[in-house]
Amino acid sequence: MIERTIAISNSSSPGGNTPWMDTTTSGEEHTLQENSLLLIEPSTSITRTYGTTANASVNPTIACRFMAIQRIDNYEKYLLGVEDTSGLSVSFASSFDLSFLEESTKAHIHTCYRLSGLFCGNLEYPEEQFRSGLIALLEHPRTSTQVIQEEEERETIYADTNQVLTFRDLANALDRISRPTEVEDIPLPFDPDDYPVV
Amino acid sequence: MKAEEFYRDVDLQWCQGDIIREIPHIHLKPPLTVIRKEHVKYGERLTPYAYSSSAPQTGMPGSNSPQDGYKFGQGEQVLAFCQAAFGMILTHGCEIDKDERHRTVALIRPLSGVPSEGQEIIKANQKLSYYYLPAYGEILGESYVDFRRITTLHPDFLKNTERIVSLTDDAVKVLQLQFFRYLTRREITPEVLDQLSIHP
Repeated sequence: MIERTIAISNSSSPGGNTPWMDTTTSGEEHTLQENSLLLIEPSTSITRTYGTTANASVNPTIACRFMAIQRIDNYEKYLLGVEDTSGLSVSFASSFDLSFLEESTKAHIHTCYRLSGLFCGNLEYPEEQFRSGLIALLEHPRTSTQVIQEEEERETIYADTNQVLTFRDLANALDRISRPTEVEDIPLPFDPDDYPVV
Repeated sequence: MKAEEFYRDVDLQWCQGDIIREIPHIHLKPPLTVIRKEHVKYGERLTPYAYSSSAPQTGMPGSNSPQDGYKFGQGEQVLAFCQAAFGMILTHGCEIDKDERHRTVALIRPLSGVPSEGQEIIKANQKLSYYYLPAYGEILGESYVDFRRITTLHPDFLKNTERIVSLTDDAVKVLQLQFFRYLTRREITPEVLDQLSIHP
């Protein structure tokens, strides 16, 4: 599976030699693609976006700010980036190694935090919170504060038993959640009453 | 479905889906026979009265009614066909918490002994009147719940009974779905059923 890195690029130079272009241990360059800030795990075909906002869909018409972490599996490298999809198409990515999580990453995260504020305006959370959340995500890559699975998310509907429903409401509800069976009930070749119950 | 996916140990509280080893199941068949306790010279006796809506009323020629007439409004003791067998609690747990006088139970019939063609139909839940139950060790052979045979019992009938096992949440959902199909002859999608959760 080809790993997609964070789609972070200056729109004027989509394929240029940008500072966040990373290389794998095999020397293969990742092709950066715009607007694909997703975490891709090679073992599955499901993509998840880890972020701090509720909406990570990359719609250029919707402005949103979120940070995402790209784990390049088997390479033990991570890319951290901030994306503002308001149309500026300017953001950054920075790679770091999980093994240096505590020390070198601390300084690294500080730099990322400052740069993200520079590019995208003031972030709504303090740096410490940003760092804590990031470390938590890295230590438990399969968990996140918010996992966006728009297509798979299911909303549990709770019946409001305090609400008075009219006769028509109830009748309509049955029509909406069910339909007459199309298959005839299959008759049995025997009558159960003719057989003992024990 | 495997037995371990279908069954679970019983809870401390009674639940919908609990299976009881032996409880009475009633099937009222004609004629409707009222039983009255009457005092006679040598003590008390139980006198049957065959009720018919078209029969002459009390005091009229040919009447065979009790002297003070029938009192179905308040209730009468009647003769009924009864079988003692495995049964499943259909009353919802929320209702059990609130109702101290009624428990709805369904008869559980053994699948063994019936024609094999019928067994396959029941196993596939293609006959809407029944709900297939896989075997549970040596305690319960392959069986099926008979929705046609539902009895209302006073909870006292359940006090000294043996609950052998209960249904898992998924098995209860399918039970509810099958019962819905039996009552309505309509199909409801499992996804819709799963989406609805009623808080007690």
